[in-house]
Amino acid sequence: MEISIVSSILASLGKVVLERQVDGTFLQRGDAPDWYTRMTRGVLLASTPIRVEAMFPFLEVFLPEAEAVWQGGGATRLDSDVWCETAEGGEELPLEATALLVGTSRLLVITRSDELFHERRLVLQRARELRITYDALSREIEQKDILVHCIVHDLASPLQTILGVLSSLDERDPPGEDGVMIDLALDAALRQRSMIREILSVFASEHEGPDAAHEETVVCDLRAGLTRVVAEHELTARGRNVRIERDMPPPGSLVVADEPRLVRVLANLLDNAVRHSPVGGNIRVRVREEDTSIEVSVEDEGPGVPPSLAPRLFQRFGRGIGPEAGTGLGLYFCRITVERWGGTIGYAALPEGGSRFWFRLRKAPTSTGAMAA
Amino acid sequence: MSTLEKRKVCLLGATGVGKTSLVARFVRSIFSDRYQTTIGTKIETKHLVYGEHVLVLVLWDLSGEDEFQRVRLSYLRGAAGYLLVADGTRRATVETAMALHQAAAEHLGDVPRVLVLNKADLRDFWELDDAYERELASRWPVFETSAKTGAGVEEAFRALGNALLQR
Repeated sequence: MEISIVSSILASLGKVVLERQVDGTFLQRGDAPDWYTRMTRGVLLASTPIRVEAMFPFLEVFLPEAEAVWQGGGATRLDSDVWCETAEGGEELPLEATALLVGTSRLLVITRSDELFHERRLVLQRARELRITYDALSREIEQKDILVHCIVHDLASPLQTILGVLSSLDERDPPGEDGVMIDLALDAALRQRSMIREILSVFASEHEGPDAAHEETVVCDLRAGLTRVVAEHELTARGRNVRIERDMPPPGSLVVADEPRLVRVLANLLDNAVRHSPVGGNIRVRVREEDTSIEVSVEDEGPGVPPSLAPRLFQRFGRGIGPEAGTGLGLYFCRITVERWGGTIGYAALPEGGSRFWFRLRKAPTSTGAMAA
Repeated sequence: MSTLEKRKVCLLGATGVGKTSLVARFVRSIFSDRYQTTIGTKIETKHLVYGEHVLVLVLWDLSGEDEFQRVRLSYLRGAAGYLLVADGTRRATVETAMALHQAAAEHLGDVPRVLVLNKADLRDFWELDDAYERELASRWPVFETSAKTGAGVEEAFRALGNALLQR
């Protein structure tokens, strides 16, 4: 193919070929594409040496890198990133440069690359728009969370008064139906307080600073926490003729967790187990020591979790929204709390029926636990 | 006798803070609400007149820094100064600007620079409180701008240009 035809093809592909001279100037080789001719305003003759970096300031940073190619001995080609010149009238000119060593010719090819440029921009722009939308939504959700937190917090104040009054009335031991109604009201108020505390706990866990994540320094005695929670639940369980069997970790079984929240996690699991156990059923609290962690599980003989709910059990409102589901935040609180300590939590249906909820906490370095029955 | 000097100036900042819009407003007095992300580098020039002196600013509008694209710091080579651009409605973009400043200072040393807090037309939605802005202003020449209305844009670029001429 004749050189003139090749030159025309390159020009029609939007490429201008320039050859580097010894003095660092460049000479145009072959035809020039329209965009290049417009940029040079037709003033330059093809034979006029030019300083390309004066025409295209971007090349100030590319030419020093291109020298490595033109010196020979290594790679024979180097491509620049895309850059954009603004032509007269504000027209965008997306360009790319390629340094080539062909024989002894040191060539610089500048290509107008509209199609590639617009495709890349489309993809990147979409990704960035999605990111901006995501960030805006996250901020909005956070603001709403704070609003809800304030509302729930405010609801707790009058409830304290209601509880105080009901407790006073209950202490007077009113006879007959009045006493029953006061007991009912007191139970409902206590339940409501428990739900409010749960919501506030979730909020507190979610909004702790990043420094609190994977807390390494909080350590508590699993045995003390477990003893306390089981004792608190035995009374309720007995009321339903449900028996709680338990393993007991030995003294000195220290885990990475803080006691108040560990107690809430255990209480959540035991609450659920007692609530869902059949009358006369058994609940088993198992403790299993592993090399670097201790696993606690709570098993019940209830109906188990419907398979459709199991995958989102530990998400917000994972058990749906309704009276049976409580606040829908209990297991969610358990998960975010345990994970904050670097632990894991899970659920498994028992083969013989019933549920097994478990969580695994890292042993604290000073733990001396050896399992006791 | 008039003099003419040419200086390279880079615009650095997070994605979507309005770097390209600031340049478009400054160079061509236009603004578009349509967001168009910058790919690579966009280069424009603007002549500024300071009495007898004409300063040609070669503005390198570098693509925003985010998880999809990194700023190529090698493009700072030869820059006489830089504008750090942040979006007042997104506090995190000020932190990105500060991080880019650290990187730029390592490449360029102590060169003139200004901090531009853009989107002043959305002042009601700013995430920067007065105390934070005062703290920034104690360390930087800070300009509140709006590429949309043009407020503060000329002043910011002129202040940087003036600092460049002083050196």
